[in-house]
Amino acid sequence: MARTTKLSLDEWDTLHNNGPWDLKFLYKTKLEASSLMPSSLDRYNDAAQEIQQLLKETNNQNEGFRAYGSAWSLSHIAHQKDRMHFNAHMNTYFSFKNQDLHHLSNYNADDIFMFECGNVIKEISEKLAGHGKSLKSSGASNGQTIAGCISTGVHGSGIKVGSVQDYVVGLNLIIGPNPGDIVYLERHSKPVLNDVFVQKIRSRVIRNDGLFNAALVGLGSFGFIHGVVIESQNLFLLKRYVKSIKKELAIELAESLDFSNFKEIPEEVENGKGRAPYHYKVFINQYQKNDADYIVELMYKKDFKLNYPDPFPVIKKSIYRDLIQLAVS
Amino acid sequence: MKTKVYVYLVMVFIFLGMLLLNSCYSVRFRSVEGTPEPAFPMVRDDYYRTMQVIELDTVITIGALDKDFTYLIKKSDLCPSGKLHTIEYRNTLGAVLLSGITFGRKRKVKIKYVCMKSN
Repeated sequence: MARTTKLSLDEWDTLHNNGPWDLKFLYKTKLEASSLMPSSLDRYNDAAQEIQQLLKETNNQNEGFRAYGSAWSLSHIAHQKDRMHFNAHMNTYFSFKNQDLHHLSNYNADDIFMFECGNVIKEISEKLAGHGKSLKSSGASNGQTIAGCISTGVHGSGIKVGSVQDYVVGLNLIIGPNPGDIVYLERHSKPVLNDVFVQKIRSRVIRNDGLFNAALVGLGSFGFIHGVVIESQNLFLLKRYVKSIKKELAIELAESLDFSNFKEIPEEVENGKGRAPYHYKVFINQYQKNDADYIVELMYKKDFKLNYPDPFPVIKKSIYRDLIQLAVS
Repeated sequence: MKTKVYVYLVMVFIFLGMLLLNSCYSVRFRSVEGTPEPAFPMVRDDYYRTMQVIELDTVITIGALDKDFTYLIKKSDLCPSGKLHTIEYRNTLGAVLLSGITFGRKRKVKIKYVCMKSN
């Protein structure tokens, strides 16, 4: 059985100390050991049952309950004054085969994964890498849990990709303590998983675009997000450039996303046309009112290879270089 | 005469202070792979705020012929995976003096470590 630790506390705070705020009880649920319950599906369903039990206990006391992940939000948004649940230890995941997909699904089964709420982005990236896959985008750091990440709309973007929530294709929600209160929600227009799999996670299926879109960045208001189904893509590398370019050009590129005439990076010109980057960002120094130039960051997608250069020295140096360019521009 | 003694005392204190500062340091090893075991609840305000850190502050006895000492990391509630993510050792003047006074037989071990998050 999944084990829940219950602490009686007076207050709760975020990672960045934006609080503290009042709290009565803090919960943490750990999955059953795989040595005792080898099936991931069994451990997942067992944890769902445990969460329903906690919801029942909370309901009986007429109190509130909210799950949270890494507590990185710089506000009280994750807080609930009665009972909170730390979900980082609920971290199993599932990959799929064609027979698990809905008959109208256009997705490639190899790209579809379901991650339990407490998997953090770094954990997910490593698990996906084991399948030769990658998240399409993520924030500037990688310690957010997947449920916290999507429900609070963590930043990070790729052109034609969006942020993390934009490639979520299904949600498994626990909306109450009773049988039938576990729901698998996905878009009617883009079905992913078939009813057979949904029955395996003891859920009832709802396929509705409006409900799905509302629940996606729902700040935990649609229930306990237990599982998140995402569409991944093949592993890739990013080559990053930081340039100072004319302000008008920087804005025009941002608006049109047409980089065919942008030839300031010779390595990224193909057949006489500029390649479209995977990520484009304009740095605006609000204290420089008369900037003729803006600093822009471009990241180009490259095929994955094992012997790529160590990114750490580049990342360390590039952050300072960007700041210096911003300060002196 | 009194001034001279005072100056000597100040110099001795500065020397001891420098010795103390130089002999106190931490070295941290952190894997770039894996995820650290998360803290529950999050109460620290230091580098380890998000991590479930285990602190070890003890004195070990090493025989005259022994050159090393192995401390086993085992599975526990605070370290469910039994695998290391981060380890930090701290050296202090006290540790150096203890080792010197006991001719290396007693060694102070002051370590913090964080385990990998379990799957």
